[in-house]
Amino acid sequence: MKETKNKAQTNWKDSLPIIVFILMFIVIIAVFRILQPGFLQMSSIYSILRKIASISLAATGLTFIIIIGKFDMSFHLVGCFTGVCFCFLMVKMGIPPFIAAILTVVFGSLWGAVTGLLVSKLKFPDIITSIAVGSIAYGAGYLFSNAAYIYLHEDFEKAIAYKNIFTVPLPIWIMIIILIICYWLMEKTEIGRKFYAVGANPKAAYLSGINVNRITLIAFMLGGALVAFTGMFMNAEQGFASVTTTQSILPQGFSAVFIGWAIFKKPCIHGTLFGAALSVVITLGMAQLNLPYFWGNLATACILVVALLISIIKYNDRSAMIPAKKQPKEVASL
Amino acid sequence: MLFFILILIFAFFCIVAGSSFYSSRNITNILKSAGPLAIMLFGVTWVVASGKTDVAFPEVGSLTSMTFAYFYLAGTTSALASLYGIVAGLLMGAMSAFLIIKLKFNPLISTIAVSTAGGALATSYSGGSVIKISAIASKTFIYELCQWKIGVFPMIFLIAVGIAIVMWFIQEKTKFGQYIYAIGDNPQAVREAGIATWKIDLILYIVSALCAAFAGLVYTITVFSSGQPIMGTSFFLNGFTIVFLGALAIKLGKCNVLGTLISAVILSCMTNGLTQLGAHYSVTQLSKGLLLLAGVGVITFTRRKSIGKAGMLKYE
Repeated sequence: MKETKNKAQTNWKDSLPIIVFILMFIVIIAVFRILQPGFLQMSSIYSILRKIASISLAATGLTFIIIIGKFDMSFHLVGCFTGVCFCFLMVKMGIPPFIAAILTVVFGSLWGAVTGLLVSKLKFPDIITSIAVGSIAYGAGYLFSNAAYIYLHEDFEKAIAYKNIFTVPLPIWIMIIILIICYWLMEKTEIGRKFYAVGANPKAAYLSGINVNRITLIAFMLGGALVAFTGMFMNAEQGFASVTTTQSILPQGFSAVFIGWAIFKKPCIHGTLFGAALSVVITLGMAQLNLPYFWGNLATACILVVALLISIIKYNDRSAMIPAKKQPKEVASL
Repeated sequence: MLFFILILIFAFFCIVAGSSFYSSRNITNILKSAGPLAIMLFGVTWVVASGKTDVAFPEVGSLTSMTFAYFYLAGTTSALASLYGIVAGLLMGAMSAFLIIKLKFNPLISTIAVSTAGGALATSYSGGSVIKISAIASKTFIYELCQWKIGVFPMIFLIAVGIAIVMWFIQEKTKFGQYIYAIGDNPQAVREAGIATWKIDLILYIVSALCAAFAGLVYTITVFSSGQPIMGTSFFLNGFTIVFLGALAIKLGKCNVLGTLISAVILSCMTNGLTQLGAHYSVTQLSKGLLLLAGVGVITFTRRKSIGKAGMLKYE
């Protein structure tokens, strides 16, 4: 009897952050709606969804890398490269959009493969390696664009960012399809379990027969491939390609992943989608209130801190780690 | 080893770019741009040497820069405005230290959060545009200071050398400096040995913010002569390239202050030379990235060699 009660309590406790976050989400939307009646009209809901599509795809790529316990500090720079590369292939080389998109995704995953190989096979430190590879990718992006904008023809723009299928724009369809595949991959298949195993303890994962290097490589390649979509969408939406387009999505990507981590207790695909939606709604809502854009950035930083706080508080419940501050005293008393 | 690279790069550009490169005026220019860059990264070097990361330094610089420019234009004296600027930068350092030590966040994530917030605050002074102070900047003390030079050495480079020597002394000859290296190798062991690691972490992040703030001030007054809201990506990439190249000098595989100074000179030497050759911006960016990769590679391989293969699993 007592046991069941306890179980019920823990279940309730487990779902508390999810409820709190959903309530917070509704409250935020309501506040924006009251302050700015035009906030959730049919026309603007698609622009919000489009933005969510770009951010959540990049953040999903980052999620894979964070699941295996590594960091990628350069996904936004790879996005800079892929965006420019995509427009270059279409405008300057005359390749049809569909093939250009496939090529771009391949290039994006190649950048990921470079980082992944260096990190997994050669045991380079992940943060620095990704910064170095990102720096090279960024330079390569300049090589394509020649430090100028590449303007897209209107039909290209319509073909990618503004094409509607059943009145829903194409990027949103692509986001839905990719996220469902990723969700299935992470939650329902063996490979998803392997990802989480590597993240929890790479040594134990290796000893239980998982090819850690291959998993790391796959994670980084997926990260590169997914951020390629973000680069394409963001550049196609604004109608011209510039190297700096995706430069500012780094904090948004990280906050999306960590909000998801805070809600669902692990870095996961659905959590990241939720986090991306939250940060995009807040940023865009502030923009529609005619607040300057930097308030959106400040809000993103605050969300990130709050998300971390929640996830850290939960960690402290479980882990037996002694706080660093108290330790010296105990040692002294011994 | 790093000296060798420096001489190699210098010789290469001397041959290719000719006399315009090794004229004393150009050397002064190279050192002048290396000075503040090195100062900005000294603190970061310590943080990285202790096994953590600080990605907030460009934003600390820009917040200081904007705060200074704002108060200076509002009519405060330059000394007071600099003080406000540096205090603003230090607050950012204290903020990241608070998040990392008290709340035990991952250093990378918390400095990303702090840098985003700091960047937003820096833009909020003017709504995203730069604040020009060029007409009156010549009156300030730091500007005068940076105009002096001794031989080919500009004053700002000598200041950087001075700071580097002091910090090198602290890092190598004092207990505190040895703790930095020790934390970098095994923080748990240091904590178990009864050392208050949180105090050391606090000092590291404060020093990092102080260095970045001072460099931001120097940049504002001498280089940009305006408050810059976004120092951003190029400082970030250059910064980490310099710090990790610095680990190739003197103590192989350990980030140290003198190495940072030398590699700052290397990087500005390279940028200057490539610009004189009329190279594309992308070439500079690519070569910086490759240089960083090479540096990290050398460090990784020497470290693995020194550890040896005993007790290592195959995948390690």
